[in-house]
Amino acid sequence: MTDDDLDDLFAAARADAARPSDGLMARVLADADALQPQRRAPARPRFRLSALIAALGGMGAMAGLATATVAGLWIGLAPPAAVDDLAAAFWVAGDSLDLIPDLEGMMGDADG
Amino acid sequence: MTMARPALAATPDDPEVPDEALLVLYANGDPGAARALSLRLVPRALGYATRLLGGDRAEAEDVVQEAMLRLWRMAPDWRTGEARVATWVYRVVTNLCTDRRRARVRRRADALDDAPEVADGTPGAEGRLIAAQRVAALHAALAELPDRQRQAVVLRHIEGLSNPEIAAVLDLGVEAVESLTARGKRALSAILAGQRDALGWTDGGGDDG
Repeated sequence: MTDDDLDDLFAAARADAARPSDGLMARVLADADALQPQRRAPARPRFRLSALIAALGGMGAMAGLATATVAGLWIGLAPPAAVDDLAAAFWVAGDSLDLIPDLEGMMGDADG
Repeated sequence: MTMARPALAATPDDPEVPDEALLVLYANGDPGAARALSLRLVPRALGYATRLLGGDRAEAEDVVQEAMLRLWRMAPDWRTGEARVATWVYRVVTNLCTDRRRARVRRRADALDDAPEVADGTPGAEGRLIAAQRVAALHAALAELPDRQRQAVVLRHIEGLSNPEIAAVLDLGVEAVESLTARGKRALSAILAGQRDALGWTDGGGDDG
């Protein structure tokens, strides 16, 4: 028996490829299925309105936010007298009053 | 586009996805990963187990199912980069086959009567018969080798692993693997020496029958 003969034998063994039976593959996959850990939640959940509301503190907080928003809009459109007076205190005949005089220096040229 | 895709963005059936990535996908609950990984590993594991068990296909299938079961079970604890998945499976199959050989009553299959199924594509009935007889004779001869020699010879010459890979499977040094395969081949030659004519070699070496 020469090395070539042995190589022939090995080649015959390789050609006699063990093709797994359907039954074996089915058993292996059934095991895999039974042992597979549950699928994790996706890393990035899709955006949901309910998630946003919950993040802001729930429906009670949302009601407060809505009230504040409407109030702000109303004050802007139809300012009550008290707001006018307050605004007049900071508004001097077309000139503006710097509440924080250094702001421009801090912000650079942000005001344009 | 010639940009390489990141492995995890590919589908599990993509041959470029490493075994290890498929195992991690499986552990993360991917529904297609187990099938893709099984299609790669089961045929190899089955071939190897069949050789180690002297051609006993049914027992080899049991061994492979058990090895894959252990793989699924440990998937969540797989430590990436520590070993190759295929190496791990070969090692488990090696150990399971050793256990089975020790446990079962030593029954020498009457190799030449037990001609295994031959893959399609071998031309001619006579050629198929000779190929089947050769495979059966090889299985019978392998069965006579010491465990380590048989494992090393099958991994090297039939499964086509490199010596360092075999060393990792068998937990041995590379030099020990080289020595095992050399001794195993010599022993196979001696065992098969009287069967040249019966196995269809008429003259010289390298005749394919």
